Amino acid sequence: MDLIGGLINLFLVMLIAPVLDGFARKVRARIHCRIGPPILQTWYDIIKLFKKKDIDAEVSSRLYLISPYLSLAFSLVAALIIPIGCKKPPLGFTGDVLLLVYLLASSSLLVAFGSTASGNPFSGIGASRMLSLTVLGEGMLAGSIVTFSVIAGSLRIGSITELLSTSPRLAAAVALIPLAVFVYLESERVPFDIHEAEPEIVGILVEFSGRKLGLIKYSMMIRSTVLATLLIDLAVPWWLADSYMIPFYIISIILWLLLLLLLTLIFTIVDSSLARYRISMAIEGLVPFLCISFLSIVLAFLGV
Amino acid sequence: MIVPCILLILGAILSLLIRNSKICNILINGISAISCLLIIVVGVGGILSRIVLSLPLGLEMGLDSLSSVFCVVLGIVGFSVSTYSIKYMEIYGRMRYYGVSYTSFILAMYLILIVRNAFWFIFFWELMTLSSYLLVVYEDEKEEVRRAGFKYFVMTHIGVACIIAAVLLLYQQTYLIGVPDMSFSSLSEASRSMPSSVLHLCYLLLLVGFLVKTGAVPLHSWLPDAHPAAPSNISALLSGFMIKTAVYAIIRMFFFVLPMEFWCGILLIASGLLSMFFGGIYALKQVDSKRLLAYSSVENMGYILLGIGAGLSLLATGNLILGSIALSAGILHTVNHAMFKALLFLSAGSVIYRTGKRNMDVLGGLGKYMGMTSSLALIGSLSASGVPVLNGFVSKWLIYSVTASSWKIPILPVCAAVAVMISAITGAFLLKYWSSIFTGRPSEEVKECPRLMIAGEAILAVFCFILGVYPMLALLPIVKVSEDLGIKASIIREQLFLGPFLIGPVTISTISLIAVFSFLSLFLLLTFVFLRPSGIKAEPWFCGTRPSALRFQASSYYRNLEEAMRPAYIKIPRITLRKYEEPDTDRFLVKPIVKAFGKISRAILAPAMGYVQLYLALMFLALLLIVGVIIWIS
Repeated sequence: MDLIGGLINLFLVMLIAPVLDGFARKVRARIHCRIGPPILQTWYDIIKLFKKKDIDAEVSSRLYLISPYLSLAFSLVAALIIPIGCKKPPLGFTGDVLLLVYLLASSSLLVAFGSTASGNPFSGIGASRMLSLTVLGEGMLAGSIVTFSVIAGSLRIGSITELLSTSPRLAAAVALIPLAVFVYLESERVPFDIHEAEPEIVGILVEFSGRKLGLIKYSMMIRSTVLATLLIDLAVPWWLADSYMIPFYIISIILWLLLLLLLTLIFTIVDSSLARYRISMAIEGLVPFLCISFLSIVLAFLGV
Repeated sequence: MIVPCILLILGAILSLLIRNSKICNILINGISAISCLLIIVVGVGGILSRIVLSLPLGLEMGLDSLSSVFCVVLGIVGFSVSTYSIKYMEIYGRMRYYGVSYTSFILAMYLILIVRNAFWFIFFWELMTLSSYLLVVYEDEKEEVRRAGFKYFVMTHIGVACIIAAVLLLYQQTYLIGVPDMSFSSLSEASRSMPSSVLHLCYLLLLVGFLVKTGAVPLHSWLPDAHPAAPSNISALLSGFMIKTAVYAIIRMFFFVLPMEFWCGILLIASGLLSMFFGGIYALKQVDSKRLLAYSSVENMGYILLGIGAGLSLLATGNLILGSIALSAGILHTVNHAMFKALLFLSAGSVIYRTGKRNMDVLGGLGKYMGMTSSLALIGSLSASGVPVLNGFVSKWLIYSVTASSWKIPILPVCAAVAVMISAITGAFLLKYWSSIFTGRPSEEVKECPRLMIAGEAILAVFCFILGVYPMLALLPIVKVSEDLGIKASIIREQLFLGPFLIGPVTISTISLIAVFSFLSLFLLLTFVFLRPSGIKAEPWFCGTRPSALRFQASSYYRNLEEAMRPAYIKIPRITLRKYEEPDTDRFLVKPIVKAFGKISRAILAPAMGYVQLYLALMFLALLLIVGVIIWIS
């Protein structure tokens, strides 16, 4: 069952991630009073990018060529340790929550290394900005995850969701704030899309084209979907089914989809109502959340 | 056990006899490489069976799991560094000087691991300090090198003084219980009957003494100066192994010899936390490639101390399983750090070998010409930042898992959160290290390094990979260390899954973990199978400006982050040497002592001023004096 569950997880995440992005584009267009692209547009984009003839930068390192694939691999493996539909993730073990942090961080770190390997100074700037934000982001994530593990007395996502669904705690609610900000940050949305930089050239994506660009975008979407799922799992764990019993499991997966759409809706509304930060402002803006995440550990120990 | 020693001593003598510096170079490094291989053999032998050896003059030696693990690491690091040095040392002169100090450095590190007598331990500790000092000041025509060396010398000797004091206190007690002896076993026996206040003083002195050598904040300030000052192969050995001898000593003393004490563990955790934090954020700022790596060593020592400190405090409070896993995690990180940090220092050395530069602001684009070196440096960087399937990840993950699940000591989960954050900082500054040296527009045209140098680095890179995919190779012997501590092996075995990966303390479905990693490996494999370069190449796009006008300097990588963290960059009290003789340090503590000693020694040394030989002779006499005093007491 673990293996089948894992495959279902992979399939769902791979399928849904671009749809969510398409949905976000649609919502944003509506806020701008446009009709907007069809919801499947992101899927069409990715397919088009995959078909395109690829051009490589004259590079010094093979990492530039490999990194999109590696990044995708790490994001996909992360999808295996997240509970979707069932409280027990397909692959659960003690410390899986920390492995999740590392897989996602490695996925973006590899893109950063790959983009600097292209030899373009603009990608170097993008990578350095990305990692500046990641440092604070990882701190926030680590703080809230440790809080959850202290509350649940376990380092397994499965046990944490199970415990949160039976006895909600204040510290968990506090820890959700930095987690939500982190998920928002990682989904490359305004005001934190500084390193991806749609409106300007300086960014990690500048030297990637064709299939590589498609892979990196796809990997980013999968990453943000996985993180959004983690947020939903921890914030409202009640939608998760207790086991892989077919009716409940399917209902739970439908709930998962609805919750993801809801979260995307909220994020997109926030996204379209904000302006982009300068990197220094973004860093300063994140520091309070870092403090909150460490505060939540203390709260967890105090037993609130 | 003795053969490597004889070989190394022989090497030292030979290097004095041979005048031709080319032959001398090959001979010294060759002999060192062979003896390092022998050290590996000894270590592996020690893992398989316990060896004890008693020589006259109380020179007891023994190999248990702890010593063996460290011996194997020393062998691997030493072998690859020696292989690398054959070519690397060609750019330096003074082979005889190098020969004697290099061989005695390795010899001392090896002997420290196997002696079982406090007197000889201190003796070899001093030998290690002296020989490494001589190697640090190898380029002593440079002012900053002399300063760095002097600072290193002063600070480690303050440390040694503490160690000697502690050992003498313990030794006094052995006299009282009727077995006047300096072997570890008698000291251990003596410590059980000691008045607790004196024992606590011993703990404190030993902690200070060893923490100086590990480079833990706030006693770290010699480390970021000494590492860049030394030739790179020496920095690789310093960072790859010498600072680990202090880790060995901490484990030996605080776990095996003395009764385990809770507050020592907490102190280790605290210094680990400080080292991690300050090492990390200071590494972000550095522009000098080797200085950056040196701060990264401080940071990694923080992880190691966190693991070991957690182990100590958990074991002392009776959490045997968690404690032994924490200890194992700390030792595993020691092993892993030895591999990737030596690799990184050697790669920095390759850059120096070809360009002579350490300033990352002026370096750039070398990957175009030094493809292999660049790839190897990349493996080291990724491994140090903890990307899964490379070795850095496994030990870091173990440390986080075990500290985050130690709910009984509330400081530990907080440490875990900080450690995860610092790990992101590691990724950030290693990106800066790798990309500012090896990517971008080439700053100059160079050739690839000689094959032997690449071979030396490649050995370490291979170990980075093997230990990442199959950490059990290192963990199996490491788990035996806790067995030696008297924790029932069956208890650990019940909780630990001895498959490809070691898992936390809660019983779990072990298949899952293997599945995660096989999925990951599968993806990686597919990547390499399906990867086809498109064949169309284009220049990077510079937005139409002249490429020569564009440079992204190393110093501007994280300027914004540094700005935001400005309050964290407090001035850690550090020793700054204004004049060569006069360390302007912590004014109330160190300066008066140094001044007094300076006056006395200047009076004694007045005729010897300026003659190194006389200095050394006097030091030797002083050592003899101490030996005499000890013999006289007993």
